[in-house]
Amino acid sequence: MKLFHEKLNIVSSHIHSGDYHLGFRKLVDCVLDTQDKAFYKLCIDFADWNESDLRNDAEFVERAFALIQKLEKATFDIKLDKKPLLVAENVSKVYGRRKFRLGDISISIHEGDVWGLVGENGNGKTTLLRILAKDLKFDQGILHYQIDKNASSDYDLRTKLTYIPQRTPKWYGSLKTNLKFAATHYGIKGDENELIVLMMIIRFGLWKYRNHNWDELSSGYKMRFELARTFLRSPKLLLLDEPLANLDVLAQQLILEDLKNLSQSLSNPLGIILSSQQLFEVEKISDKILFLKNGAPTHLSNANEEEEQLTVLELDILDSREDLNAALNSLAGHEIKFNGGTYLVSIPVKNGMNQILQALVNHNIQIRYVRDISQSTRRLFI
Amino acid sequence: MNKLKKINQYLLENHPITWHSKFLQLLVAGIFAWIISFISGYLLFGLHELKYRQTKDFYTDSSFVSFHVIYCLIIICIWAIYYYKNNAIKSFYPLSKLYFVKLFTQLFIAFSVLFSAYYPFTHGTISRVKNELKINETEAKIAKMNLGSAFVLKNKSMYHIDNNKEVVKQNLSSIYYNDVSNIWEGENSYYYYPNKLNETYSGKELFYGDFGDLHDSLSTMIDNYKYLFFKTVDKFESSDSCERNSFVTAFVQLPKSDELHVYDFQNLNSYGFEYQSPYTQKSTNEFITDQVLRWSKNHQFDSIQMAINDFIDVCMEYKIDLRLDPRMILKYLKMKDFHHIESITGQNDRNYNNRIDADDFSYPEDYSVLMKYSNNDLVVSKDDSSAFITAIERQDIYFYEKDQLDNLIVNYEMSHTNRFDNGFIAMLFVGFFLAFLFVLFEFANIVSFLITIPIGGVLMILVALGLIFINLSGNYNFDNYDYHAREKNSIVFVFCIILIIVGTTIYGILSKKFNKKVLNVLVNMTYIISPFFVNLIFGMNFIISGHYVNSKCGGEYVYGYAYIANPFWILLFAVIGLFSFFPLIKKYKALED
Repeated sequence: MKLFHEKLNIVSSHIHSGDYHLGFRKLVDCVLDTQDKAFYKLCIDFADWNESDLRNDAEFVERAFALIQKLEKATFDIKLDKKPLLVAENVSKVYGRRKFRLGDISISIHEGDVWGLVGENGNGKTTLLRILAKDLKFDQGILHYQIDKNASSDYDLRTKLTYIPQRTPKWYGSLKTNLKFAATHYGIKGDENELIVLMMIIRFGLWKYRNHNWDELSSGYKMRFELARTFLRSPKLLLLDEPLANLDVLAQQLILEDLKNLSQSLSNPLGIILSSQQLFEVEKISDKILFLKNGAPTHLSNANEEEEQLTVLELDILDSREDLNAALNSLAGHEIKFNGGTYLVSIPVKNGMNQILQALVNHNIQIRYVRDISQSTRRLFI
Repeated sequence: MNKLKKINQYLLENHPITWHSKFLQLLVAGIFAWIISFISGYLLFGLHELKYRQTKDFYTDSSFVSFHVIYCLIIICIWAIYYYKNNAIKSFYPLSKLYFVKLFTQLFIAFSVLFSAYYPFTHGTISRVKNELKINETEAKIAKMNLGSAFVLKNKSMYHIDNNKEVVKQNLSSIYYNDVSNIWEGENSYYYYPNKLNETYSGKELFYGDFGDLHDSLSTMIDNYKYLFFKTVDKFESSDSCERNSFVTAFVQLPKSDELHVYDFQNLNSYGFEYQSPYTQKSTNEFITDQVLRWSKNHQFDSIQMAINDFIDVCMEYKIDLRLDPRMILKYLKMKDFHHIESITGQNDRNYNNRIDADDFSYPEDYSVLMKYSNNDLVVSKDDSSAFITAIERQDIYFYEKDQLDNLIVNYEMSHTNRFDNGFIAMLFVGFFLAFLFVLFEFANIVSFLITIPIGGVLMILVALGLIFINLSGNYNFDNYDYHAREKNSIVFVFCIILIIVGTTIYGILSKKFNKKVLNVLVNMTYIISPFFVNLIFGMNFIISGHYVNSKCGGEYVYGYAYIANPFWILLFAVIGLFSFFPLIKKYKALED
């Protein structure tokens, strides 16, 4: 239970620091880890109070720590072994009028893994996700699912594969009703149904919106609803197509954090593959990145050793290129590229960001934006 | 309201199919429709309807049917909005065992209840009739109607006293011996078939000839003619003959009485049905007939007048349109001398419907004397009476609206016999069709379904062309061998087409090799075919079992199986066909695009 107690310590730390919102969400994750209905009830009461007009910070802290104290005594099975979920070997597909070829894709996803799928539009991200979700046929290769050995049919397998498309389909009725309907089909019945559905509503910050309809929710909350519905299905493998599209920056961060945290649940870890254009955000939470260019996969790790020794900065300055060139003259082997918006500055040194910044400061270059993209697939886009 | 929410919540958390199908809500709407229908039936069927409408048809005759249709449409529209809000199969949720069977059954029951308002509505009308026409009171009134109606004119359009009379039901045939031509005469030739009573007459032709002497003991002298009365049956002349003829199965001996006349071979039509009279323990017909005959014979005019008065009273009670004057009618009857009777040798087809196949016929052992009508001797000068009779018969003076009275009695009969259940099966078919349709859209894509319609249409045209091609060959004659061969070829052709569609669909689903769009259309077609599949197998089996059996008459076409025409069986087979399709749905839905 050491890992669980560490998680609880992090929650305590957030609450101590006054990060109540973050602390609360992580606390809910801990409650979900226990899979104990008694804790669910306590958490629901807490959430109900937290969303009420009676809420105040002092009492929040008191209640949160009371719950943490109880959670410290909880016992449950922790799944540490990262079981493989899906192995794809040289999967390829040719489609469309221009005979676009996707592949060969070879990936292996384990419990707790988060894979980022990046690439420009029209490079096969959605097609690959649909193939992995068994929604689309592929031409060659092998897909080996190890999600549910009891699945007696393809339909049963598809009930375990959760694929959230970029445009989520419209649903009808209230948010809570839809979640309950999903939960009932997954065998969560009676009182348990209410408890688990409310826990998911709390976890994805939908408490205030639980009786809202589809039309009444913003894009961010629609995505949260989809995630809540998905997590009710206790997924083993979650496939998300552009989940960050149409979300504001804050919502993107929240969703990504939630996905990362949930993928590393102690009691029910899952594998996630998500496609996105938000490179930096995705890279932040992903364990592995798959870059698709013209349908072909390119792993950043494929880059040669020489490239590994590079420091590459993306830079936006108020000064001219000549000024920039003059500032970097002192750095041996530097290169400057301009793509019309930002400069790409590289030096053949590992972790050389400080050196570059020092040189720029010395020459009084006005920096508007800088990012180290040495390890980012951003380099592959440019 | 809170309880309803709790029930809804309970269903959502524990019985997702029932919650999704909105079975309870539909059922409540159906039960509500039943209650409203029953009340409407009861209230709408008043005295006016009792005379002008019949309970079994009143549902379609009344404005209620419009209300019911609109009500059903509104309920279905509202229901469909909720039904399509959630769909487990399109979301790839796990489905319980027999998911589609349960869903279909719930929808089938709910829609059948919703659409079967005809049943409670008619029950409402019947209850009203039972309330208005209580059995014991009405029996007494029917007896009065029967009695009175024998002596009154019927209605404007049938303005003859003889409307009251009907050919005797025993289906007697007769021939008479014509002294002038010295032969037996009749409409047809008859043959005497062997029976236990008169073995010696076997195979004798009863038409011409000299065998009249043999039948002296059986013949009856009426109006100076020697009559022979008998019952007949149609069958082959002999074991090696192919010609059917009328064979005499029994002679009927009428009483040898001077009072018997040709026109006495009549019976009095009467109201009522085969209900045992509580007063006489006889059927009403028998009771009334006895009474009428006795009064006629004994000139009991007071009794007749009383009967007419009673008849008028009953009609007045139910506001039957009439204009009757008992004294004038009595006078007319006296002048008419109760005689205006058709000859029983006249044309009528009543025997035709009662034909018995030779093999089914069992010989009667006992023959009772059927008629004992009497005549009275009241003689009125023709000249004195003709003007009066003409006035009564030709002018629109005395009448009662027989149709109104008929409806009244039919409604009474219907309400006490409940012979109206045939409509219920039609409602089950409506329920089946709707449940079938809504289950289809549970898993089928609307676009693919819309594509299926024209493709199915083209396919049907091709099948029709194939059938035309098959049927163009050979001589077109319903009776010959070629006709039956074509019939067999046609059904086998249709069955093969269906088998190809169903087989291709199953192969496509199991092999996973087909294009999903093509498969969508095939699955839609197979689903639509599925209710017909089992029925078609039975139909094909029936037609294929047809074959010629050689016989003395050159062969006869017979079928090895009985044709299944019972709608309950057809519905059951449709359900079996549909249920056999359901296991394919999960496999089909799991297929990749």
